[in-house]
Amino acid sequence: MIDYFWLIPMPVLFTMILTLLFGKKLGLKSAYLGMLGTIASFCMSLSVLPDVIAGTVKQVEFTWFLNFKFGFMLDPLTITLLLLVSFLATFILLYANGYMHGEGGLMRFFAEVQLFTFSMLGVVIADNILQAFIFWEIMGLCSYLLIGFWFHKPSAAAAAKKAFLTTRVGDVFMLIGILILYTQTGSLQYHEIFAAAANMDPFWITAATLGLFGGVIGKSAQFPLHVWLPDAMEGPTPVSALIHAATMVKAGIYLMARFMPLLVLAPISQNFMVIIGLITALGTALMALTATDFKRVLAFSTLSQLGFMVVALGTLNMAGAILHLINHAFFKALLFLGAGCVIHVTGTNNIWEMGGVWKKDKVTAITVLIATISIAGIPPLSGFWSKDEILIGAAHANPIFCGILLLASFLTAFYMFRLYYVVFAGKPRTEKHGHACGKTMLIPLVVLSFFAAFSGLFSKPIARFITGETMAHGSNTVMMISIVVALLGFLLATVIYGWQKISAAKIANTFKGICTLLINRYYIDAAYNWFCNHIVVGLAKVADFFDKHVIDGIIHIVRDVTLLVSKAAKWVDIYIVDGIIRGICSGFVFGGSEIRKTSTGQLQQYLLLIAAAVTVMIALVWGGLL
Amino acid sequence: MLEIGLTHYLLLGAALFAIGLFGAIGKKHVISILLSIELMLNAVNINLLAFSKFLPLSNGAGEIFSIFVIVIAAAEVAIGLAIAIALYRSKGSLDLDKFNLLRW
Repeated sequence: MIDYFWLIPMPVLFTMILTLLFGKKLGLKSAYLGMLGTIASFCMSLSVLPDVIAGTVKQVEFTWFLNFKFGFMLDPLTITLLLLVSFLATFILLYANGYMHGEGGLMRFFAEVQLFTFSMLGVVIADNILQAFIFWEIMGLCSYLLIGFWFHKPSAAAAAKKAFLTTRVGDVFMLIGILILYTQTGSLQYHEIFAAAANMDPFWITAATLGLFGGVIGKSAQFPLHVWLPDAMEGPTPVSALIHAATMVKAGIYLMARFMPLLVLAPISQNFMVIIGLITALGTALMALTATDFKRVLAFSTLSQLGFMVVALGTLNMAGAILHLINHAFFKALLFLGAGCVIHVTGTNNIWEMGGVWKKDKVTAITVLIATISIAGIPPLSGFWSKDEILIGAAHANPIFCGILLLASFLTAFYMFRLYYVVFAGKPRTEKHGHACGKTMLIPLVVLSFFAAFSGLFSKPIARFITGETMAHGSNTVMMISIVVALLGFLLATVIYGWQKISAAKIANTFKGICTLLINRYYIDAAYNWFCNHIVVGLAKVADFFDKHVIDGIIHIVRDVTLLVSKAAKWVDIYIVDGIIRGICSGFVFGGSEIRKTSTGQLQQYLLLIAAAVTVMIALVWGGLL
Repeated sequence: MLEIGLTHYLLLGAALFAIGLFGAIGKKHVISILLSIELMLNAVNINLLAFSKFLPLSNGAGEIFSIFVIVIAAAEVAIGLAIAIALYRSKGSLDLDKFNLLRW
């Protein structure tokens, strides 16, 4: 099996094609078809796992063209992601089977979800950056298609466009980074790049890693390109779960982890990443405080958690980043799927129209509670362990980083429990009703909640597996502070939203300015809008003017000159070239018509001429002249 | 006594040919021209026979040739007379000056 490890993503592609062929007939059952593919991928990954644990690192390469190769590699990082992605995709598909009940365009939906999963597997298993980039872009396409799944809704269409264009900005930087790597090392293969890195100019290493990080900023939605992720909520909930947990945003983290050997050599890039990560972690956590849409709160929390991971990567704490990636995948998938259930049950997205869901849907309430505790970082659930790992790494680099992250994790605990209290506790605030969730929606919740609860306990072996070194023993101080901070957040949320001892409205009134700022997302979206509408469109208008008047002007001049020349050529052709030919012709015609006159039709005249000619010839012969 | 030799025959032939040529060129009537052509053919026959008689090793080739010429002349006259009749029927005359059908 290990020799054919590169086939791991293929079942998903295969079932995607089958879905395209038979999806119309299968309808919701396409989900099971898709699950067949993801389960097959998962089992294949599982079957090679023992070899990888035993230390095998596999690589298969084929020459594509020139010295470009396409290839696949298998190492601990890859296998971890492969398992994670195929596992989550399986349950998300199962969930979608229930969630998408009664929707149109199911064939499209399931095929796109599978393509999305396939491309994520493709990114992970690629052994060179170009191939990864190709799958990366397919993923961008899938995100566009799926966020805009309900494309007849203008907001969904706009969100899809926003996601696509925003990530594209990052991808340009990524492409630049790739090109720098290629020009500097002459290869796109990871292992060759890393081998050549030691002889590379530090400047170019920094430039390349910054470029790659640009792509990560786009894909993993870091500040300042985070704007697309909250809007991506316009897609169906399983898609959100997929984007947030398994694919898309995780691809960025994976890529940076993959380039860790290069990042080690670029301190400037590290610092830059830490700063971006900190801004994202804190800034988006603040935004989550004022969000009123269930899924949007979760989106902001994803942004914030991704910020944590980027900080971990920036502090060269790969174990922390990947552990958090894994744990976050479980609890965020769970949260989103739970959110889907809640929306199903209550029939609304607005948390202030929910309430009392605890009584309506116990399974969802309990599983979401597990996820909430987990993301808040309260031990012993999974989120705590990886967050702790990141905090320790950050404290190692600079206590200030750690402080900011602690603040963000305090806010995380606070807004997650705020969300929980508002949605699940109390009484329903409106008369709106949805319908109960089916089994296929609840099974994934239960399974994922198990992982969200306990995946943290395996942090140490997983970290050793991925990084190959035993986890440094963390300081207990950081651990204690992080627990205290999380509990504080929980307590504050309980006081304000649970017991309602302090009025939230009053606080909001006191900090009115800040609230408006947060609700408007720091006006970053507005600024981008303004920028696009005024600067970009203005530039486009200038370019248009330039095109119409200068470039077209030049073309018109060229056209006129060409016409003039061709007219002159035509004159020469008609009067000189043709004239010569006509002259010769008419000479022959004239000569012919003159000579013709000798043929009078008078036979005797001919005879006379013949006789005369013969006579002359005889005379000449006789005279010895001929 | 002057013996009649090759030269005499040749002179006779030449004279006859010249008369025929003159007739063919000068006469205006189609029948006259046909007669003149016959004269020229017979002049040739005289030449052939004279050479056959006076030159050694001829083996009678001249005689045979002249018989060919007579046959061809007969055929030619037959066709020529037919043409003359056709011309007369179409134009009502046999004056050659009136015919320029072969003009360019």
